[in-house]
Amino acid sequence: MFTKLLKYEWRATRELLGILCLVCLGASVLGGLTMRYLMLFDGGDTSGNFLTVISIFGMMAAMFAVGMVAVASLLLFLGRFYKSRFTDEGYLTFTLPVTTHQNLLSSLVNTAIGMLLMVLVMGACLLLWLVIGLSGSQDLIRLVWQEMPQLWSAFLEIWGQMPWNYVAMLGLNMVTSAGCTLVMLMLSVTIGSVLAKKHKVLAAVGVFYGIRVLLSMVLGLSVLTPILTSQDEQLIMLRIIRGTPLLTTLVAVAGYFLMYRLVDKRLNLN
Amino acid sequence: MSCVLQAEGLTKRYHHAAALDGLDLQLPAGKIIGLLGPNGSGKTTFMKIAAGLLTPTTGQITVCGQAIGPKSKALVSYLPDRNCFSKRMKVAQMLDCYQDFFPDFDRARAEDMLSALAIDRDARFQTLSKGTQEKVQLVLTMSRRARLYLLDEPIGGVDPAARDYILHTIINNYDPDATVLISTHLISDVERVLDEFLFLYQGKVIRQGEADAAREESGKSLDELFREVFKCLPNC
Repeated sequence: MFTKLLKYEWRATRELLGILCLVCLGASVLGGLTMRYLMLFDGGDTSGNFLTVISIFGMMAAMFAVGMVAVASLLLFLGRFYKSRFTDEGYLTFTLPVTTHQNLLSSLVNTAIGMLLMVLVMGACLLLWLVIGLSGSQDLIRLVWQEMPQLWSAFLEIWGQMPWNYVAMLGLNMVTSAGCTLVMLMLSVTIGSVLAKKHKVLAAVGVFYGIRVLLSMVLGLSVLTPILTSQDEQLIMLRIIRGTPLLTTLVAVAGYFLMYRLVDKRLNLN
Repeated sequence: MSCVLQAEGLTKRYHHAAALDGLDLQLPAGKIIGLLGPNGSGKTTFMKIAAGLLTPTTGQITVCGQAIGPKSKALVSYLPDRNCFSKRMKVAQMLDCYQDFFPDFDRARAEDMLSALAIDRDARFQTLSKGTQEKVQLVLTMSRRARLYLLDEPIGGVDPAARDYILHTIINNYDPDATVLISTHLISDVERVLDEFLFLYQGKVIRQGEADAAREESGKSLDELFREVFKCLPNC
């Protein structure tokens, strides 16, 4: 049943996600072309040139569009969660023969996968942006190509000296922080929908900012504690970098179970 | 006779107001039962609890001996008093959804009913009229081979001709061992299909019995009986 739920979650979001990917692609092409135009004319007298002004505006619009795609994709998944669970569609969702855990986790997993996909698409689009933008600058490419052996050896040198345990912990920090933020967003939507009688979306926004403030205070304390209790800089760094993922994971798990409890016991669709 | 649904001391409070107040109820198998009562009597709350949409404040409720959960939901076919499908979905996608999630869904039966109602399977839900949307939901609900059908205002939003078709659909499509619980205000329309009735008031059953026996005993139709019973009660 869980895989079926996931399938329906994915089907419900894939079309809009596809449109957002196309917008991102279009923005990257526009950004790349305007960047190429501006780089080609780099050094020339382009002041007052109409095309230059247009290119600058085009580049800004492309940057804005890519940023908006990131926000819109998150809103898309949160909107889907709200609509399918806490509006009239919930009358179907919560009468399906599935457990509340399956119901909530399917949305959580779909959102996580969708957001990861969007990050990858945005990364690819930014690469495309650079490829298009720099393709006209033969000198720059030639220079980079000539310097490539040196760059590579420098990279290998850094690679060899890289403190991999720190890098891994930073990666873990990023993953747990992203997961925690996602759970907090969904928890805010749940609290807003279950507890507020009117203006549920507004209530959800308010709850999220409340949670963020609280979480920032707790995280701040967890960072401050090792600083105040130790003199060894390396030890302080190690404690912070190890303590934060643990704390964010605990907060995410607690947030998930609070969300579960609210949906299981306090749900009242009207 | 076996019991499909059993409720004991079922109470649901919203802050200080009790929507259901210690309700004790047993629904026998193989009957069409009318859940009748004035606005705010707790009909929808009771159905939502039985369907697993609400958690009771106190009390117990079981469907075929199963506490409310995934197992009971697999036995209950619930028709809410509103549209519960995404408006962007096509009718065929709605059939797919029911087929995927409910093993007791009879797709052939659903397609036959849709054909009889001349409903296009490729039409999007939002393009259908309100009455047709309700018919589609009823078709999906009645196409399951469930043990308990909970129909909340199934004929509320449709024209009199469609009401006849819907009632005909209900009578002809439920399993003889299954129970159909119909909540409605349009008693005169449904009373001819009812085997039993329950009068609910302020979260309690104030009268129940067999429809024919009640009509014979009182010399009145259920509709007239309803008007008489609830006329005497305050706040009606």
